[in-house]
Amino acid sequence: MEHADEVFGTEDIKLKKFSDVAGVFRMKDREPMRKVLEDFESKFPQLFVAIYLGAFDDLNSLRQYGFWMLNRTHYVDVESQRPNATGILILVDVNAKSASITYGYALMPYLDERSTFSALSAGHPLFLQGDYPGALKAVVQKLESILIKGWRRVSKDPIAVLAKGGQTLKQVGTEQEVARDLESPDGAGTIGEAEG
Amino acid sequence: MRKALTLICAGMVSFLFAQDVDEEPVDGEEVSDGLPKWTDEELEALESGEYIPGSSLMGKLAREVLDSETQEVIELDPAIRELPDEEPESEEGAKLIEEEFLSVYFRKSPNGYLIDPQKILATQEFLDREGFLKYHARDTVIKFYLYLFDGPQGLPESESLEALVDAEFDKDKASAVVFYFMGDPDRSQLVYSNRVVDAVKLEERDKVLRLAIEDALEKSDPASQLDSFSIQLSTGLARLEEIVTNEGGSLSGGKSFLMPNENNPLLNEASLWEKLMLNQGLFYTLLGLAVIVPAALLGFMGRWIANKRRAYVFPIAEGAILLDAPHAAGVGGVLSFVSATAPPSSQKQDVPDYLQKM
Repeated sequence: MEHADEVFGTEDIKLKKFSDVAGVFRMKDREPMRKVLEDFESKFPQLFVAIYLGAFDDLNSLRQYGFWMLNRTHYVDVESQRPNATGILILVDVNAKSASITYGYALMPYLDERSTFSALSAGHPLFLQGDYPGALKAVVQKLESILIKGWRRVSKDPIAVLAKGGQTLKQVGTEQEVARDLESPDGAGTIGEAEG
Repeated sequence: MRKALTLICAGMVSFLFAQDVDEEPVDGEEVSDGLPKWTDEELEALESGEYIPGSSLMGKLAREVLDSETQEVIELDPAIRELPDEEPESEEGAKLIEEEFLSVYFRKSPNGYLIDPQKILATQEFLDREGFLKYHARDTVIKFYLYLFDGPQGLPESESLEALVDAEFDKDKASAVVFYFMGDPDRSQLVYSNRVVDAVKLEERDKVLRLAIEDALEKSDPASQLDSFSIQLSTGLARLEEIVTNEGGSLSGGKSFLMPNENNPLLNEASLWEKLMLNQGLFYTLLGLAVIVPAALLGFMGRWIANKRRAYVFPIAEGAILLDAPHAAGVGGVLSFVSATAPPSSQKQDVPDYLQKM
């Protein structure tokens, strides 16, 4: 993180979860994109997706920038119960024509490089055509299906799945409460709390 | 007028002379072309107009008319004018049917639909007409029997169409029996069997014969008259059937076309619902399907809607911070979309060095 701070700065930044700095979205496409993000949040009450489209001149590493951005950004339109640890950042460099995905601690048991790459690949044909709205929608939908599979896995064996991501189940109540948290349609428990 | 008469008379005289020459050729006359020759005197008189050919045949009156220049109207002699018109042959004087045919006409059941023992029709005409009557019989309930008589023939006083129908035709069958007089369709007679009489109004029955006669009278040739008569009568009989059917009556062997519900086997047949009720296995199977299929569809639809609205909540977990990052250390895939020909898998970017250090 220190290295990233040296490159991109130590100051936190404020952004909205959908930021088209590159200006590739037409006005009429922006609202549907926000709707896609809101639908994701409805489906996953603890998580959120942020999208950043930039036109970088000399960005050495898109991954590094995504890593720095998700740790340093305060998303002003994301509720406080969804910290950045529960976020997924899709970062697109329209100049270099590349895209990356970065995700918070809470998602480490469910996502990895291979699955996020497959999510990006879902939007590849549309990225090639310059259809960024379509491509990003396809990427988000693919992420949803991956997370649903992860949710099924963790529902069956939460300890094993969390351990795979280097995490443990936080004992905040009885087993029944944990089970309730798992099944609750509007549960808003924080996941992936990191110990400092 | 005068010229016309002259020419006519000349023609007639020439004709008469020609006949004379044919019958009694005179020796010494020139008969090379078979025609008589004018004598020189006659020729001169003809050319001068003194001689009018045929004037000797037409008499004094014609001579005067031809000589006068006025267009006088020739009036008939009063004695000729008052001569009585020739009366048609009386019934008594009508030709009677020979005895040998009477039994075929009046004392036997018909052996076909066309009865013509006198062979008034030629063989082919008979076959055509009989074929038509058979065709009619196939398509209609009221059978059409046609008795053929010669035009001037009269029926014996002891015989009648009504008596024939009563005696020789089945009362339970619908029949229309016609006496038709060749060349004189106006004399045609038609009698229906009781089944038709009971089912059809008199007005409608009479209309059939009237229309047939009217159609026949439009033709001058007796054969054409018979043709038109039989076609129109056949059409009229079919129309009677239609009327009876529409009114719910019956012409078919005592059974109504529109049968009462209690007698109608079609209506008395168990309905589809009743059949289902009787076959309990089939009934319960269909009932089960009727419940299960919609329920399954509703279930799938409900599940689809529920999945769309479903919220996925993950368990609360805790773990150690990586790379001194406060929120996120999950560095995912990178995809380049520079080349449209290369697959996405070949467009991955390598992981930067600083991440490999962790």
